[in-house]
Formats: sequence, C-alpha cells, structure tokens
Amino acid sequence: MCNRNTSLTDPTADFVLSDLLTATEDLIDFTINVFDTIRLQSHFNDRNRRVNLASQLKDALDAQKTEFGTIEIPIKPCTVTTTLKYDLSLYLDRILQSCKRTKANLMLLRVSHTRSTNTTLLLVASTNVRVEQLNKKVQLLTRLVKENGGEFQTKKKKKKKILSNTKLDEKNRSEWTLDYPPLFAHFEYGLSKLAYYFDPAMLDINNLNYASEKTKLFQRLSVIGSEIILVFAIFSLLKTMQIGRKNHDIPMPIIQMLFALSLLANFGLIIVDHIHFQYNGFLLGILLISISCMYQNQYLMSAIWFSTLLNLKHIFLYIAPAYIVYLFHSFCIKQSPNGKRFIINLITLGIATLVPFVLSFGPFILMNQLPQVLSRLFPFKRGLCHAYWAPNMWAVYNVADKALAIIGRYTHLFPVRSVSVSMTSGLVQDIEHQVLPSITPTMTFILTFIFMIPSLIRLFRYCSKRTFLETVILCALTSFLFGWHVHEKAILISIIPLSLLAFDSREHARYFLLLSTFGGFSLFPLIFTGPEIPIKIGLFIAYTTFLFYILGEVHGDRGSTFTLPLLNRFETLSVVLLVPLCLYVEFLHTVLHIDRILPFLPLLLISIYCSIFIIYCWIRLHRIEAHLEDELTAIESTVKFSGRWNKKQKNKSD
Amino acid sequence: MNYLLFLGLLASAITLRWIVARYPYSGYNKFPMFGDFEAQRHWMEITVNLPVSEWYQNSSSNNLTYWGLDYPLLTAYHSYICGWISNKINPTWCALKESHGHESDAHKLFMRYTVFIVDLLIYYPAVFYTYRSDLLNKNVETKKFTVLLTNLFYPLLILIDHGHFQFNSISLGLALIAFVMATKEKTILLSAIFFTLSLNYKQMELYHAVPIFVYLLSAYCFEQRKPKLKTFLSLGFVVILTFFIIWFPVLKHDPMAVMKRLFPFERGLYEDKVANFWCTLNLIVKLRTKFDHGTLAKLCLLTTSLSILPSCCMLFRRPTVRNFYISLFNVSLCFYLFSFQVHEKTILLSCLPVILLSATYPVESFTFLQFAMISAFPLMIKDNLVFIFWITFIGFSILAFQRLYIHFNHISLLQLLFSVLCITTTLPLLIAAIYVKPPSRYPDLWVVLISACSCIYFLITLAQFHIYQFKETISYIKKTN
Repeated sequence: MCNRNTSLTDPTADFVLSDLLTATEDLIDFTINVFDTIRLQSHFNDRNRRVNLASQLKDALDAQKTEFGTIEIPIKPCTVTTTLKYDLSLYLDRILQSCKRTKANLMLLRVSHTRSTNTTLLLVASTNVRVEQLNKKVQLLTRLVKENGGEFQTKKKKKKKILSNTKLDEKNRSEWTLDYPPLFAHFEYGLSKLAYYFDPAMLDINNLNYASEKTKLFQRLSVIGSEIILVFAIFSLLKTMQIGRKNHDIPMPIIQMLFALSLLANFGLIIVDHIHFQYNGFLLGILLISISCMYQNQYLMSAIWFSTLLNLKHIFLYIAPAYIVYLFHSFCIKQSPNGKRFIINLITLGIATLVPFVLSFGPFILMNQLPQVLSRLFPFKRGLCHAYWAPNMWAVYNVADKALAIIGRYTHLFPVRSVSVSMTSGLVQDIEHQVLPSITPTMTFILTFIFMIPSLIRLFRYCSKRTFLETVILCALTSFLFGWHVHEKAILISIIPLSLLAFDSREHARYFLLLSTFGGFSLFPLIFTGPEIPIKIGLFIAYTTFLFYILGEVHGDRGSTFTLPLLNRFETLSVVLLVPLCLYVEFLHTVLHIDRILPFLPLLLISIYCSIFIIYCWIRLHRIEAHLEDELTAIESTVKFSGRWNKKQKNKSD
Repeated sequence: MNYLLFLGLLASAITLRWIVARYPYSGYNKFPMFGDFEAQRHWMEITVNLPVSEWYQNSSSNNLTYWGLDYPLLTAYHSYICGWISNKINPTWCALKESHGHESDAHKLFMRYTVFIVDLLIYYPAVFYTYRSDLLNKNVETKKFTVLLTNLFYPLLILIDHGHFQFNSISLGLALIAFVMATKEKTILLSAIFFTLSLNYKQMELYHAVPIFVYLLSAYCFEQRKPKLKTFLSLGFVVILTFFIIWFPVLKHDPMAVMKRLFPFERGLYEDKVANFWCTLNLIVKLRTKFDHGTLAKLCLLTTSLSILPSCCMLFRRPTVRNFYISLFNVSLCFYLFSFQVHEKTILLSCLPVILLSATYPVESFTFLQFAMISAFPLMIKDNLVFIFWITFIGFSILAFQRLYIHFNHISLLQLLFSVLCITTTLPLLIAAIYVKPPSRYPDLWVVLISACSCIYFLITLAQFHIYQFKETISYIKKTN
C-alpha cells in the first residue's frame, strides 16, 4: 500500500488505519489465490467447505470494499461471523506452519496467540507476501498486538458488546469471543456500567482498537478492585484455618502475614491478571471463600459459592468431583441419622447448588439458546493442546510420539503413519500422532476420571476437611495433566489451594515450592514483549526466592550448601537448571539466531521441562498421607492456640 | 545462610527498576532539543564516529550547542563502549548527524539495558560491599539492613537513572565504594583510585572531594600530630597516576578545552528552578538583574567555601567514621545550596551519605530523602513520570515507616512529629502542581513554592547535621580526654 514504508520508520504514525486497508487489499488477493496458497489440506478435506469459506470471505470483503474505497472512514471492524473467524484462525495455523518452513519469525507464533479479528485478518494477509517482507510485517503486527494487547482486547470487546446491547440480546453474544459462562457476562455488564462514568468513548461499539491510557487504567483498576474478594477470602481463611497455629518457633501473626503476602503477591496471579489481563484473582478468591465456608462447616454456603464460581468460569468443573463427594458424604450421610433426614438433606443441597445455575442460565433456556451457549463453553473443536503446550502429560506424549516417529523412520522397527502436518511446531491445534494412538476428547475424560478416583476414594473414606483440601488440589492437578485443551494458566487452580497447606505441613510446603516454581516458569511465554521480559524474570526470581526463604524459616530448614530449603539434591538441581534454561529461552535463542531454524524450540523446552516436574509433584502429592488425627484435633478442639510462643503469651496474661 | 534473601532483594530491586523503565524518558517526542536521553545517545554518536581529539571541540561534525559532551573522560569512554555495541546492533541508532532525535522502541530498550547492566556491574556490588563492611553499623544487623534497603530501593535514584535517563549509579556506586574503603586503613589506596574514577565520571563528585581529602589526610597521614609523609605521598601518587591514565588520550591535544566544557561558567547561576539557596533568594531579591556574571560567580565561591569550612574543620579535628559521613553530607549539601550552576539532580550527591546515615539518624535521614524526592517533582512533571513517582513515593514512605518502627528506640518523637508535619504541609503543593492551574501572572507558582519549601527544609537539615557533627566531635574529645 501507499505509505507503508514511511509508517514503518515513523513511530508516531497511525498504523491501524493504513494497515487495515493494506490488509483488506491483500485479503482480496488472498481470496483469489486461496486454493494455491493453502496446499495443506488435512483439515479442509472436503472441497465444499473450502469453497464455502472462500465465498464467505469474498462476501465479507465485498460488503466492506465500498466502505474502504473512501479513506475517510476510520477503523472499521471487519464484521466476520464467528464460524468464519474460527476457520480463518485454523487456516492461519496451517499457513504459519508453511511459513515456518520458509524461515518465518518466531513472533508469528506469538502473535497468533491473540485471535482478535484484526490480527487474524492481518496475519492472513501477511502470509501472502514474500518472505523478505514478512519480517517487516511481523514487526508491525507485534506493535499492533501490543497496542491492542491480546487478551485485553477480547475483554474490552465483551464489555462493549454487553453495554451496547443493554437488553442482553443473547443472540448476538455468540458472535464475539465470549467463552465464559453467563454469570461472568453479568459481571462484565456491571463493570461496563462503571466504565461509562469513567470514559464513555471506550464503549463505542465501532471503536475496536481503542486503547487509551484511561481505558488501560480502568481495566487495570477493575482487576485490582475485584481482588478485594481475594483479600476478604484470605482474612476469612486466616480466621477459620488458624494457619501457623502449630508452629513453635515463629509467632502466629507473622506467619499469617507472610501467608497473606505470599497469596496476594503470587507470581502467577500477577503475571496472568495484572500483566496479561484476566480476572483470576477474583475467581480464586471466590474459591477460597467457598473452602473457608467448608472449614466452618457451613456446607450449604460453600455449595452456593462454588456453584456461583462454576457459573463465572466453568474451568472450575475440574474440582467439582471433590466437592460432590465431600458434600455428599459429610452433609448428606454423616449428618443424617435416618433415611428421611438423608433425603431432605440431599434435596436442600441440590436446590442450593442449582439456584445460581438457574439464575444465570435461565434466560438462555427460555430463549432456547442453550445449545449455542454450551458449544461456546466447551470448544471440542479446538485441539488436544493449546497453541503453546501447557506443561502436562500431553506435552510429554507429543514429544514421545515425535521421538518414536524419528526412531521408527530410521530403524523401521514399527510402522509410522504419515501425517500431512507435523506437530513439532506446537502450533497446530488438532494433533495427529504418528506412532502412538491419537487422542480423542472422550479418552482424555476417561483418563482424567480414572486418575481422580484414588484420591476421591480416600476422601470418601476419611472425609476430613484436610483430605478435602488435598483432594481439591489433586483433582485440579489431575485435570490439568490429562485434560483436553488445557491452558497453562489452569495450574493456578492447584497452586493457590496448595499454598493454604504449605505453611502448616512441611511435605506440602515442599511440593508447593516445586509446583509454584515450575508452574510459574511455565507461564513465561505469556509475556514476550521487550521491556516486560526483565520485569517477568525479576518478579519470578524475587517471588521464588522469597518463598523458599520464608518457607525455609517457617519449617526450620535453611538448606545447606548444595540444597535449597526443604528440597533434596535432585529437586534443587532441577530448580537451579531453570537458570540456564531461562537464559537460553529469553536471550541466547534470539542472539544465536537459532530462531530461524527452530522457532518453537523455547516453548517446547519450557513445556517439556516443566511438565516433567509437575508430573513428579503430582505423583508425590498422592503419597502424602492424610494426617487424620491432626486434622480432627486441629479444627474441632476448643484449644485454639498452642505452640511455644502462644504458651508464653498465655503465661504472661496469667 | 540467607543468600536467598539477598537474591530476592536484588531481584526485587531490578524489577522495580524495570517497571520504572517502562515509563517515558526525558524529552520524549520533544523536538528539537529532546532531553537527557538524547544527550546520552548523542554522546555515543560523537564518541564512536569521531577521534578523541574532536570529542570536546566544536567542529562541523560536532556541534557543541546541541548536547555537547560536558562530562569528564570516563563518561566519554563509557559512551564509546555503548556506542560501539549499538553500532553492532543497528548502525542507524548512532549514525553521525543522521540520527539526531532518533526514537524507537528497540532503541529505548537498548538504552534501558545499558543502565541496567551498569547497575549490575557497579551499583549493586557497591551496595552489597557496603552492607558487608560498613564500619558505622558494624555488627548491628538491623541497622545494616536498613542501609541496604534504602540503598537498593531509594526511588529518586531509580527515577532519574531509569526513568529520566542518566548514569548516576556509576559515579555514585564508585563513590560509595570509595567512602567505605576510606574508613579502613588497608584499603585507602584503593579508595583513592575509586574516588578518582568516580570524579572522572562526573565532575559533580567534587562535592564529595573535600571531605574525603580531609578525612584521608587527617586520619591516616598524621600520627601523634606528626605527618606521615609516606602515606601522603603514596596517596598523591595513586591519584595523579589514575588521572594521568584517564586523561592520557587528550593530554596530547588540548586538555584546557575539556576543562572549559566541564566547568561552564557562562551558563548562569541556575537554569531551571532548583531548590537551592540562590533560587529561593531570587523570590525576594532579583539577583540576576542586580549583579553581573562574574560577581555572582565570586559570591558563590565565597559563600560555598565559607559554608563548608566548619564541617571540614570538625572533620579534621576528629576523623571518626560517623564524622566523616556527616561531613560528606554537610559539604555536599552546602555545595548544592550555595554553588554556581546547580542542577536539581545534584541532590542525589547529598542523598548518598544520608543513605549511609539512615540507620544512625533514621527520622532525619528518611525525611531528607523524601524531601529530595519532592524537590525533584517538577522534573517528574516535565518527564511524564508523575504516576510512577507517586507509586514509588508511597512505597518508600511505607518502607521508611517500617524501618522507623524497627529503630523505634533510637528516635525522638518530637523530631518525627516535626518531619511528618513538614511533609504533609508540602504534599498539597505537589497535588496542586498537577491539578490546579496557577494564576497567569505566575505560571511557575507551584514549582517555585515546591522548590522554596524543599530549600527551607534542606537548610534546617543542614543546621541539624552541623549540630550532630559538633556533638559527635565534642563527645569524642571528651572520651579521649
């Protein structure tokens, strides 16, 4: 297009307009050459679908071409339907793969994380040009993405959409990338009401790329504001769980303060919520409130909180089995002397759980929108792994498959299926394995459930509060390891509850340290822009070392020359080896220009390395035995304080 | 041991610096002169592309009125190294004359990295060395820790180095090492070398030169009132040798030209509004219209030398470590308040000894450090750093209160009350400077008021620390008698 070169060198120029125009122009070429460009046909096997897509694209463009003919029209979002957008993004993955073979840049992958309309279109456009132009485009695209800010943009979109359709017209909702349950939409609706007072321009529906300082500030503040729930949850937990009660060396208030700090300044939460932009602190706060209610024996309140949480983000279905078993056992069986009572309890529990569901899904059922909503919530069309492999079992599985394929190809010991798309890039979402059997969603479900069963059985047998908490952690971790299309952020669901136990139990502290170190490290690829990389590394080191220091002091193990506090030599080595890995991934990889040959190597390394130790933690956590007697004495006993310091206090008061 | 704790502190300090580094630098998008950031970049351009003889000379390719090099040679060498690296990465960043006012994200990141690396190489080692071997708070863990925390997290240094963009941490780090080394007999020669290096990085370190000279002279060159010529000569020799090595490349050409660039007397009493004595006096007496340039310069010289005299005398009489640090503070603050051509960033030179004293006189020190930040507030407005200024200011206040709580036994409540009162009366001015439009007759009203308030507080602190030094001297004399 006309003035691309000037806009590339001039940082102040308005990128968005000229480049959207360029993108649409390129897109026209793209639609013409659509059959030539995409030779990888594994996904688009049937011809009808391809033709359909091409014609849809062309229609969408024709509708807009008239408008783009005159340049006066500002940034206009391309009104593409969701299905088309989805197909486009799948296309994108294929194309990116072919780009990789022709020395594409690593940045492309990172850009593809964010699937907002504009970036998708731009990316599709950019694949059509020659490779030497690609680099320039990539620079530009990263800039665009940075300004629009990935996740941030989708959230804003939701908000806008919701406010402009004040009648909550659910039909249109599915066009946008709202893939959270309905209650979250209501939450966003409340936020958008606030936003109106803050800066009305932000909610203008035609203003997609709007990301002023004020908007950013509002969005950031909304995250910080919503974390009040987390603070509240921590306070109520401190009261109910008596954390640090059993410690004999360090006074309880200090331990409680350290505990609160370690939760509030959690590296994962900061990275995902405050830099990447999500509302996890708020959601996990609700989870903690529910756990705290459980510790106070308020079973119904706990159930209501938890089902509210499910309606806010359905990812918490991961830990639902633990809730079901525990509530069933302790509320229905234990508390009912006779059969009649049992049935009454069961019905009350059922009603309490269903109320939030009815409130949030009710309007959809009335409008017959339920299937559509559900299909948005459970996207089985997406692949086994996320674009960046979450550090779970499937990452290991994929790598093993790849290794076996290479061995098989050279030795001919076993048959290797030829697959049109190799999956080493970590980009393709639905992976076809070459040697090992391919995985389907049903298989992941069955596996997850099978591996949950041991901990559930133990919960049913002992049925103490502490076993409940352990089971919640294990369920979350199991689903993280075996689930279908797991995000790397889901590790937070097991780390946060584990931190509740870390200050009281030495063994849990050990695995909490390991899990938060490796889980935190696996979040690194979320943040990839230049100035944020040192912030991310610095924060990670600071948080991890403080955590080791604090927990070492709390449990009276300061480590030795060769071991970190609470860890053995092997685990220490694994943590220390993160240093060279981090150096390689963040700096050496680009400095040594390995990114031109193997652009996705860092992501692969991170997810494999972290997955090994997360699996290790998962196995070890199973082996920690429940301290049943401890538990009983701890919660139900009337003596609230024990320990040397507390005794001293008592003596003083006497 | 608690190496984990130190690693954590170091990592948090680095993180804080990088968070500040995300904010704009001085003169961002301000055609045609830009700011200090452009100055540093321009020096890289000059030093890489021109031979040493032309660095300080006005020529067709080196226009001295456009951010001419006005720091000593070590700065120039440092710029040369950075420029060489930046040339390797992207030659357009330092192309001669072509790159004036170059601004890009990648280049900003590169420049931020240069400061970060320098911090890593010089400032943090200096800080941890101070923690390990500072004689003033020897064996008192909490006091040592206070000094360490203040050193690592003092926001003004971070804001100026990583936000505004300068390389103060090099000269300050070298000076810090020199101070601590000067207190031990074994390392005084090294101390002299480090101080000379620091002096050759920024000539402003002359503020510290007088006390360190007096201290070395008085503490080590006399034994029972008889001069030890050997120590004195070796110190002198080391200093001259270091100077010679650094200045060797320009000695052949024209060292006087360099000197002229370093001490620009033609630039006036002060440039912007500075919280020093002259600028505050200017509210009442319009000095610059009444006197000419030469008279003012002489007046400054006279007042400065008179004001530093008592402190130096007391130090010479009783060269204890505490006396040394207090004297460093007094002299550098006198220079800041009374000398010629002072920048607002120069207050950092007085902050350095105060940080060392922050465990000994917690209330006074922390209040002074806060006022130093307040006095730099106009600069923050200019550089668009107000938001991060508030965040760090509040954070530092929390840190200060925590440390005061730890040292609660050593502080006087009256002093604390007075300090809190001073700060709370000044804070509304800061808020007014952002939100309230000044009357059109006095467009600089808020800035001037902020400077004046800080200046008054600085004068009070100066008096206080003179009293402390006097007490220290007297008590020492009593003890020895």
